[in-house]
Amino acid sequence: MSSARDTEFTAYVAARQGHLRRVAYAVVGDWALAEDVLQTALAKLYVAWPRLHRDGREDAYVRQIIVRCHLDERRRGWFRRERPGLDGHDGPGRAPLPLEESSALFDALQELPPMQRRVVVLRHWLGLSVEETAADLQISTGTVKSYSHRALDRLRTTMVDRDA
Amino acid sequence: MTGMDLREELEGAIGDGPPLPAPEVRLAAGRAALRRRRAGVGAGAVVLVVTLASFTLGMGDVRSPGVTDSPSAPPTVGAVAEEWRKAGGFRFDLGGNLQFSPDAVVHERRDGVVPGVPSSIALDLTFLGERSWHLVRRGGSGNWVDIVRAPGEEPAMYRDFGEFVAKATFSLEQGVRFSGPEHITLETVGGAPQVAGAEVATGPVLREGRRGFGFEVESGGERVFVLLRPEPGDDWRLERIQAAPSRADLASWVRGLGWLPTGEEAP
Repeated sequence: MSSARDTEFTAYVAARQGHLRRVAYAVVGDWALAEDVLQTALAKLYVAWPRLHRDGREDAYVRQIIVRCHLDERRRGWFRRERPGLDGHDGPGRAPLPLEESSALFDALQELPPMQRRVVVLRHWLGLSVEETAADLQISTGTVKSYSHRALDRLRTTMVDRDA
Repeated sequence: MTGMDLREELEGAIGDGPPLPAPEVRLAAGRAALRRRRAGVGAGAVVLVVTLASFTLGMGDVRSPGVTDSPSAPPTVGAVAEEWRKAGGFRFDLGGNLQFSPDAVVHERRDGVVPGVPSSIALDLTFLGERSWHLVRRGGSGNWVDIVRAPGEEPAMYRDFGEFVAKATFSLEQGVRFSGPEHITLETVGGAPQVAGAEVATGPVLREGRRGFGFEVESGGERVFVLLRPEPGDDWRLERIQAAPSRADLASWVRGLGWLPTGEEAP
């Protein structure tokens, strides 16, 4: 018999997992890895569900895990490898980006340094405030503004070049 | 480009991706995570028994996402061996401790080799007849990561295990982790070091990274100069770190090291 937690969590996932995986994809640039990151985030959400659901913080919690968890994973050396762990799983193959989903803007987004990319995703796609973005990324508001400025400059150049 | 333009452009650029798993798959993974959490807060002896039992019986909760939570037959001995093979002969248990396959022979183990990363461990071991060196740490999502040198791979990279540990330690965590402001880390992205976790007051002072990069880094009110130099194989070596009294000193400091031509100003 399903508990209230299970019912509520399943309903939440059904409604939000598409959006949340797109957020993860925007951050990591790879659907398989985005799936990994989201799976980890949703599992953690389930564990903390009663408190987070009561406070209505489900989306914020998952979003923070996505950006912070992947930040950890991205902090890797150039010859470092990742192995499956107790929370992990056999690494899925990295599927190439389908041509129809490729775009100059998305490519430019992925070419940004990781923190700048996260700032763009949080501030300019999801519409978070500077303060909210800073809290999610655990950086100062000044750094958010700085990253945002630099990232938008580069994206703007890309879009201008594309439109030219 | 307005904010609204960008939002719409991003919406269009990101797409929907492949089909999503059923919510029940997420639920099963969540339940498994909850069980792990509850096991983790039990009494130490009980946790040890549960951990060892689950591990002995086929890695317990080590499953791919998408595997349902329904009861299943105990894993076979072959399945356990296959899990060890995939793991490379060792892995972290639920308590964050390293466990080894019965077939692994550990020649040397050094704990806490990366400053500020207690979970970092360097290993020299033989598994299934293959000698390899590893630097591992427990990752943020429960995975672990490592740097490996197996026979025949990168043969000229390290003279011995000691050199491997030194270089691998240097490169773990975004390429560089150093003493000083502990949360400042450097990473390599596209072959060039990037600074994360700190404000970069000035960009690279050397052109195109051909000879090195100099950064002035500010974090928590403290400024330091950091200089990196390239090594063969896209490796980067931390050349120097120094407290930075002022930004103006960066260019003169770099110039004093002979990295910046006389008269050329840092950007």
